[in-house]
Amino acid sequence: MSKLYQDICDICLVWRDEMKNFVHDEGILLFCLLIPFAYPLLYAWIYNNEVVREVPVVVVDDSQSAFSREFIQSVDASPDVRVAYRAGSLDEARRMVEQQKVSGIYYLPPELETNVLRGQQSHISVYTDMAVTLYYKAIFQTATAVVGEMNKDIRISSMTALTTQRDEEISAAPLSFDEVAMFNPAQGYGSFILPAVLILIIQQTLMLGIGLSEGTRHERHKFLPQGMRTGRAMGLRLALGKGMAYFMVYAVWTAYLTLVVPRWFSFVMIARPTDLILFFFPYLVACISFGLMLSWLVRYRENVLLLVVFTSIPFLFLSGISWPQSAIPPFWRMVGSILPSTFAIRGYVRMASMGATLGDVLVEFRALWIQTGIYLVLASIVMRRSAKS
Amino acid sequence: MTVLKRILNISLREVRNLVTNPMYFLFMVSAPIIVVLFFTTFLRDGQPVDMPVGVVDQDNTTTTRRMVRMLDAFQTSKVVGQYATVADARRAIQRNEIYAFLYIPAGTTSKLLASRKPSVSFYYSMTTLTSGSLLYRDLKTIASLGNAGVIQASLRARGATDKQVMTYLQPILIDLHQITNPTMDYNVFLTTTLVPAVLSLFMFLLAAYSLGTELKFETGPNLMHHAGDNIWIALVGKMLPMFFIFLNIFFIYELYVYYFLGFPHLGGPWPIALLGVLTVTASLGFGIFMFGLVPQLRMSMSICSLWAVLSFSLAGAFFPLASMDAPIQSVANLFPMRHYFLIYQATVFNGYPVSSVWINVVALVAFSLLPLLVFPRIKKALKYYVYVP
Repeated sequence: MSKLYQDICDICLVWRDEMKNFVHDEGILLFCLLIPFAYPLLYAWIYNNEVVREVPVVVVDDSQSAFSREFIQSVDASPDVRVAYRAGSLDEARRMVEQQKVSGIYYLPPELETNVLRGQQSHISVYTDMAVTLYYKAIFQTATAVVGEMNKDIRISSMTALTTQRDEEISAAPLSFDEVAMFNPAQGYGSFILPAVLILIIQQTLMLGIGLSEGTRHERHKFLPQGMRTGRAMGLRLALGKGMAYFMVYAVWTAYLTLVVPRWFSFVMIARPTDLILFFFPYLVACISFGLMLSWLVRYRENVLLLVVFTSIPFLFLSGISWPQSAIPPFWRMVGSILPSTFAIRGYVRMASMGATLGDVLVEFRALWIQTGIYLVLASIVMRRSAKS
Repeated sequence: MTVLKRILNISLREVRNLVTNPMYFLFMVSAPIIVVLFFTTFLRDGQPVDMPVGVVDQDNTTTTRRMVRMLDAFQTSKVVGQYATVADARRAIQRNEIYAFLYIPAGTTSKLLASRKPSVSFYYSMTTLTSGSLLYRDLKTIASLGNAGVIQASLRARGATDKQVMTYLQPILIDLHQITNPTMDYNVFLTTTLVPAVLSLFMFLLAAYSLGTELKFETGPNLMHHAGDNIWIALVGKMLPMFFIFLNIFFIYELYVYYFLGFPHLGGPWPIALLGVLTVTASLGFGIFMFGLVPQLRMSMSICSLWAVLSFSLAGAFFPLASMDAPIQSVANLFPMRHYFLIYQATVFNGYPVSSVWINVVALVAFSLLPLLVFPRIKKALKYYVYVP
């Protein structure tokens, strides 16, 4: 019993020592206090507008008919596209794209109306700048929707044998389709990317903070706080003590990132609080142990910046949010399963935006616990080795 | 000693540094190669294929089964599950088993035959925008094909020819011209911004790192001595080796994606080469400038990493800058990657003349010249600064 008490005392000693270190190191304060606070706000501001509206296009109307005017008016009235210019020729329009005044061209050929009236197919050409996908999407989808409506009207007007208006509508489109965009109904870019970024910030800043702290210890060759015993389970005591310090700080940040930020910026957040607590406990422990384990790579404190910062974007991709999980090549899927963030992001997004329960994210929950176990053991070994050196 | 000889001496001294410190090799050669391979293999399919979708077919007739087969036949989607109710299918989305589902209510076929306009619904999750919008596109196609099938059958029965049927179905067609990226290859969209952004992150950090380590290991006075107390000679000599290595790495990346993987590059080799040189000089210039502003190893590297991480969003390649708030649009000009992206998409991707983005070229040249403003500060730091960890 007294042995266990001694162990707990040691853990608390390490905890206090790490906390002291934490508040006296500007680097750690920057990455573990300022960044988790400020970056979510910054990103929320950047993606504040969520959707792309009023993409400028140029129209070349060689048809000059009722049809072409209807097309231009409908396109201009749509939320996503704005007819910014009219050009006399395709060449002039192309120059406008080149000068970046517009992102696409709608070309209405001279035979547009005559062909329709003659009962032949006619064409509307859409040229888009493909450098930004969301522009392409806005320009093309708007044209499709407008032409779809116009086609329906043309079909109705070309029906003569039918009698009632309802008959005409049904014959023009016998089957009706409802499209329901679930869980992110506004199709917002921020609502899509931000939850993943918020969760990733936890892991990345923890790795930076722990790396800086351990790097300093390597430089100063000072691993054990005064009064701590060496010997049995020394690595585990060190890992737990340090872990407590970071856990304390990051319990607050996790609540801020998963509850406060989504509320401030009104992102969908319909997860149950108890589920969140249960889910993020293993995530935090896994991240902290992961950070402690990787600290053996850090001989000098600055190196951790080089090691960690660039991984953020690849890690985001591995989580299967910016790129669908089913399309990730098997090798990279394997690499992704090493990281706590991969599972935490998948789980959090489904709980927060889709309203999944802990039972629905059991795969991710279990994976986080497995990682926690493995990384805690490895972190203890690393801590022991550095303390002995 | 002549100026050239001094520069050569310092460059040789720097080469020795680069060789002895493994961090340089790791982040100038290994990590860039890994990053290039990561993104190009991760996204090698160009578009996600065979994404899992489900079906709730409560009607279960030959007509509805044909619709399901049609959905399955698309390259993007793969029908992996049949569910009894909409609630079941929604739970399957929450459990991450499917990304979308088609709901065909009971009585669809009989209503269709009786011309009572039945309704079919398609639910798709927009938590991953990429998969959501691609699946939406499939749905649109099914909707029009589904309608077309019914109309075609009834028109044929009345003796219409195929051509008449086509004209009736689609009086106006859209010709889409996806200039320069006709296959909508996401590898092209993402890799061409993400990889240079990561490379520029390494350049930011390593420029600050190599100057900062002179302070950390107190070799600054020695460097100034070699340079005959001339900061120009000291910095030019010091940065030359790094410049050449990074330039080569950047060229290898460009060679690989444009000429080996065949990414669109209508602009030909000259804009590619120009962009390579400008990106490297601007990024190194920015790193040196940051070090000059805050002549301290850790702080300058921290600022550089914070800046570099924001570049990924503020380049405006994914969510367009024009849709962000006005202050962000102005601030984005302070990020070299923003100008990189504008020059890239205009000259390399679309093949427009360099003059169309001359202002961005000027901006990158300005970033390259920024260090001139802080030469005196760097000189002072190198000569007198005492390292504080």
